[in-house]
Amino acid sequence: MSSIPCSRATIALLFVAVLVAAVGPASALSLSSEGVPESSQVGEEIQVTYTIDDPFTDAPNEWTLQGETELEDVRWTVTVLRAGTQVSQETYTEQSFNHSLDVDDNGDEVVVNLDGTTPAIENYTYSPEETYRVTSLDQRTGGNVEELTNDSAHHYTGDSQEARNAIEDAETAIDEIGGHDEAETTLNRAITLYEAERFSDAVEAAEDAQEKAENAQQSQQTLTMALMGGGVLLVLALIGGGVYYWKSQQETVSRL
Amino acid sequence: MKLAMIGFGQAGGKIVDKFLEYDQRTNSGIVRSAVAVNTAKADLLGLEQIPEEHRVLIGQARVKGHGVGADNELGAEIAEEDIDEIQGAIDNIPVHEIDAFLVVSGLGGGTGSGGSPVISKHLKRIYTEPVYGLGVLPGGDEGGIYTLNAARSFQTFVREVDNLLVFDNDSWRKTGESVQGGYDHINEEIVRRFGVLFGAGEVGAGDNVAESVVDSSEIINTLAGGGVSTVGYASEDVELSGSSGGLLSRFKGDEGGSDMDTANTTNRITSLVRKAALGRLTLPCEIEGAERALLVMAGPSQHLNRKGIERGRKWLEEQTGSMEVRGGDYPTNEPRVAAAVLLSGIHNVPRIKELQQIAIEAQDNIDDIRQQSEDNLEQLVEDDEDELDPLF
Ligand SMILES: Nc1nc2c(ncn2[C@@H]2O[C@H](COP(=O)(O)OP(=O)(O)OP(=O)(O)O)[C@@H](O)[C@H]2O)c(=O)[nH]1
Ligand SMILES: [Mg+2]
Repeated sequence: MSSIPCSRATIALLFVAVLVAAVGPASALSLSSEGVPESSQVGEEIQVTYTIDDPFTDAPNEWTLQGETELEDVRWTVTVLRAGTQVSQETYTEQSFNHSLDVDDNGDEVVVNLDGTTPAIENYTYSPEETYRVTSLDQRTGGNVEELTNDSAHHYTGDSQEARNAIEDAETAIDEIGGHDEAETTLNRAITLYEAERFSDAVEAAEDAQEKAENAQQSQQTLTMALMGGGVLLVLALIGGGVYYWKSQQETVSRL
Repeated sequence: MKLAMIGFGQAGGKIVDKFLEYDQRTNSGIVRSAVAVNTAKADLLGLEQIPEEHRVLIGQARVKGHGVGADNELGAEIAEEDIDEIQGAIDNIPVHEIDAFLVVSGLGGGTGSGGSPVISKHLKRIYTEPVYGLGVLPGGDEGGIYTLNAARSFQTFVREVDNLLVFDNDSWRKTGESVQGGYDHINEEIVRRFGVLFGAGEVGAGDNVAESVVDSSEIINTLAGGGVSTVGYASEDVELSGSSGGLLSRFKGDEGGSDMDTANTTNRITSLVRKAALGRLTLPCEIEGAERALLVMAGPSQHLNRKGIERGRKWLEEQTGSMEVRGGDYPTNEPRVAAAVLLSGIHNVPRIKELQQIAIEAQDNIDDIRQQSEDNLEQLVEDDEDELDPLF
């Protein structure tokens, strides 16, 4: 097969895909959530609730609700209600589930409860901060998948959070003086240490960076004072230097 | 060039201590920070220059401050377990002010032999500055276990550092000194050779600065690419002519001299370069095949010249077959001229092969002896017909 018909076929396929996407059901489902955390501690229990109102309005009569999470020790509860009264309920204990919905079941509301614990952190990154997937919910109709929601949250341990806070404090202190090379080098090391999971060392380095920044601020203030004293010092230094030079000429310091 | 030095174990601590003393005495400016790490409390107490808060005692829970007794596997284990305590001391080092780390240790013992590859690996992971090792090989008369320790540590250390500079006690002991009295002398030799080399990149404000002065990046580039390195050295006394050290001649820029003088200077330099490269190296080896080299010519500037250094450099190129031979001067104010030659990426090192051979024999011996003593013990404890049963 020559390559030209092949690429024509590809173009044709692309057209079809675009048309389907344009015509296909842009999901008009309304979904609300409750309890999605911005951040949570590793091992902390999380409870979130998603509610889909009118699951068949502007939607096919049959579709599958798919859920996925990175929480651990999971319990999903999918409840279908009509006028606030429960029609059916199902629980799943895996990290993902598929739940079939049918208009004939007479539901006008679907509530998904998710209960699980915050997973361990695989890879520590200072920026962007570590995240895990709390929930993603998809609407699958045949081969077509629409995302309903995809929520993630930052997770941390006591030690990592302490180190992150110390680094943030150092960043603030450095910003306040409009940057400082030495402090920034130390700050970068704190971040490296953080990412190497050496949190107590990271705290130390961050505190060190903060101190450097604060000292620099102080010394900026004392600089004016110092300039005045500088004249006196210069005279002293000249005398001292002369003596030192004279002495250094007297003794042999053999390097070789 | 400015270094943060970490002396691991007794030999490492003593050598770094000596570096500090040299640095302070000569004002060379090469040791920005010095840290000593040991499992033996007494060794740390014996140091003179390294500040007390830069001495780290590790493994207290396991060996109670008494050292690991030449068990380098234990040395490595302890270093790994107590890496946080070591890092605590390293945190005091202003890393942005240093050009590289130098981890120093005797490879024949336990603490330094096992710990120095561990700390090097750690430093490389955390910092971007190059991490060099300075490893001391044991004397041939120290016994099989030291040789075995050294051979195993050598393999590991080379892998974990950006370049391993080696000093072989064996080739420096031969001149008939006793071992104990010898170390002081040997350590001075170590410090002088590496001090001149690293000091070259650190020309102070008080020194004459010539255009061809060696700088830190040339040292770093010569060491880059890794492997094993050795250093040769030779020096000769010269006269500091009349006012040459004085202020006046500096202001006059009086460098002139007769053609005779120039020829003498050039010849002296080329002859020193030969002596350095062909004489006793810190690790004896075949210099042909060295991948990179650096020639540092040190001395008063009126006794250094471009032509001599260029000739010396060319000669090194011919001898090593390397296309990467750097050279430059290191102006000092003392009545001596010295050539230091760094040969990096050396391959043909019979001493290492010999060390490995002896180590393998020692290892086999140790296994045999252990097996035999197990057998002997069993024969003693068990009754002949196996009629008795142990309690539990
Ligand atoms: N050049 C030199 N080599 C030394 C010195 N002291 C010991 N050595 C060598 O280093 C090896 C012993 O290592 P040490 O540093 O004493 O041992 P350590 O690291 O303290 O380990 P442990 O004593 O086993 O706890 C021997 O092979 C000696 O040849 C020294 O001051 N200078
Ligand atoms: Mg010892």
